[in-house]
Amino acid sequence: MNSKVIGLVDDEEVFHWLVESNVKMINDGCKFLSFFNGEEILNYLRSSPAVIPNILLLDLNMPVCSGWRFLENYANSAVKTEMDIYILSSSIDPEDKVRAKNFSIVREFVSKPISSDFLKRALNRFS
Amino acid sequence: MESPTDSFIGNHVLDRRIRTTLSNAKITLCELNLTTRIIHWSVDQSFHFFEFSKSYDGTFDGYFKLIHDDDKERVAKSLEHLNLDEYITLEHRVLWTDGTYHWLEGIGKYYQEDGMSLLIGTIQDITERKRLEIEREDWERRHKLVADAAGVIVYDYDIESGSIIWSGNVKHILSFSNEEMGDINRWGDLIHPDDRESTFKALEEAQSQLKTFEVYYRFRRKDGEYRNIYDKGTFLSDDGKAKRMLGMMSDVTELMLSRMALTQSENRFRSLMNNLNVGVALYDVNMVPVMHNKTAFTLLGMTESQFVGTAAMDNEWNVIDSDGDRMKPEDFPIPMCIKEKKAIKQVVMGVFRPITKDRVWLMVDAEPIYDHNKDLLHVICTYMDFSARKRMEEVLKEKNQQLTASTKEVERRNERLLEFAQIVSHNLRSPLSSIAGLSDLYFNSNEKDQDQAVSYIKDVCKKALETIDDLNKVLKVQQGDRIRSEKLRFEDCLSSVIELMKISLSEKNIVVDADFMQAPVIKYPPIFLENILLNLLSNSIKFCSKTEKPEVIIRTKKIKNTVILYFTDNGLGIDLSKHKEDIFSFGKTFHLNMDSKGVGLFLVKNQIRTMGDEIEVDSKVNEGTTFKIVFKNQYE
Repeated sequence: MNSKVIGLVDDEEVFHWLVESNVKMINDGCKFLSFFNGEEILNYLRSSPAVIPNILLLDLNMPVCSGWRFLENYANSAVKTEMDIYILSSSIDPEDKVRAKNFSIVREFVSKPISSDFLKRALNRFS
Repeated sequence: MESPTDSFIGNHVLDRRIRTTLSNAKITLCELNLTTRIIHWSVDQSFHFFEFSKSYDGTFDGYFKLIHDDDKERVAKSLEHLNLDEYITLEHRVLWTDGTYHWLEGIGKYYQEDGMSLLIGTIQDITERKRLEIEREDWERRHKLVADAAGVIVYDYDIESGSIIWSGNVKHILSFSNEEMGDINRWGDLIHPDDRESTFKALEEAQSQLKTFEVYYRFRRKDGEYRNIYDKGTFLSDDGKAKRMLGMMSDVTELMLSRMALTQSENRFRSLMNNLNVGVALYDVNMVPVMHNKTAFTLLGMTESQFVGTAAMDNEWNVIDSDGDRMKPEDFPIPMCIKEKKAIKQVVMGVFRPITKDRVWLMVDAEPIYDHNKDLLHVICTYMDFSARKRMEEVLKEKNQQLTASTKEVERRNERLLEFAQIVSHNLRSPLSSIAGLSDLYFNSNEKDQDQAVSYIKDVCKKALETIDDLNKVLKVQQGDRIRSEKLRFEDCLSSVIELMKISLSEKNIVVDADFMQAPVIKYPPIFLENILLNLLSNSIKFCSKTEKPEVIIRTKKIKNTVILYFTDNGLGIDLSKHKEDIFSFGKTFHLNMDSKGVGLFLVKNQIRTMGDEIEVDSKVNEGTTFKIVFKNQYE
């Protein structure tokens, strides 16, 4: 099994630990990348990194640069990757789900809390 | 003229004086022999006053020819039917030398003597008497005609004898014929006993002073019915003594009845008018009241003499229209009605009444009344007090405004409540979902991870509690309508805020430059204003410039009835292109540094919106931020 790369964009530190711990339990070989707002991941992607996440889990409400801003910038930028982008938000607002559908690059809108079932499903797409 | 000398009278010697007397009285003696048809005249020089036509031959037949054709038959017949020793009187006209006819009166006695039929007597020229008589008859006839036509009675009262000559509509008015009416005593008897004494008293008075007699009395008719009579007469006097009275009587019963009915209806009308609670006044074309009720001048706050214009108006008296503007006298309904010649209706007049020191609201109608020539005759004006209705309208209006305001408030509250619910669901959902994830992990992981999970759960719980505390603050703001506004001085409020922040300000060397000269005072809840200034200032402190000398500039301004507060710093600024919507959101921070939790500005916005006011922000990254707060309805 190739080692998968999972990227998480979320301003809550505890969530990073939570996701990472869950991912490690499913597949210990996964690589985990942490970003705390949209700007960080954008800058990372623009820097032509060696490692690009297979899966990007994206929170919406974040300081400095929200998930929405990231999506707008990324969709309009020259940077193109083959990431599966999942919105992972504590929002259950239907309007957010509608808004998310406008972005074709978004694979799915997932509400928190995160479940290992979801992670397994997301990872299995690359097995 | 040939004098007949062969007369038996002429044969007698008459005393000269008798002749003279007869001559003066224009009387001649004569003897007519009906058998021989010879006539003898008393021969005398004085005969000249009988100027028979020259054709007269001195014979009876010649005389008969001179008699007026209209009288001939009557004279002839009278002479044919004579009885012995009987006097006859014959009035007849005889042709005179000048071609006129003179009235002669022959009075004679019929005798028979020696087989002859004799008529002996006098002939007198009565032309003058007859003329007067005819003239009087003529007058009487005319009088009667006039009296009849006028439906009145004309009388001629001879004071000495007490007799009265009645003419005119006597029978019709008094029900008695002229003969039945009789003299003064009869007239007096028929006057109503209650009026009799006063009527006679008036008569005596007028008679003694030769003044016009003018009375009203009730007169009893045959059927016992009394009629009201108007009686007016004038005296004819001789040497200052009343001789006759000529007068006129008319039946005024109907007139008096209708006058009484009119008076009654006028009285009824007046009492109706005076009991109305609507003021009514009738004005002539010069705006002078000709009739009015008490309510009219009472409502207008005038005395009656002020109302009719005989007393000066009170200086304090004034009128405003429904907009509260002073009403010019030419815009009052009556002059308008006279000027425009049409009804002016439903004019609202707010009259200040100096007498009662209050303002009354009147609804005034003015309507023109025209005469038969279509010329303006009067203006009738009604004044209705609708102060009570006006007050009710005002209360209703106020209630409506309150209702609108409270509806708006409810809408605002609903909006905020929805927003709050979203904030709650989001901000509490986030830590709870973390806790859920962590506890899941706890049951599926090793000991080391379990410890870590529990420790994180603690952290998340602590944050969640802080969030709940923050939300509580927001809730308190949203109950702000229980907070009372007070008059506050910006300077005082800022001083106490600076006092609180003194340490942070001096740590970062921040200079606060405040000038409230243009609008030093505001009506606001003290806690709100303090919190607004506190949060704006702490926002400026948090994000103050690290390169420049940090400065905060605060100004106020008055525009119309609003106060505007400008709060400017030269700090880090906010990228509005990215964060405009998020500035005042709950739990938003835009900077990675520092202790920002993003509740302060949310609170500020909430308080300002609770008061119905507005906050705007203008900012440039690394240049600074200006908050502009518009406090509405500060000056009313």
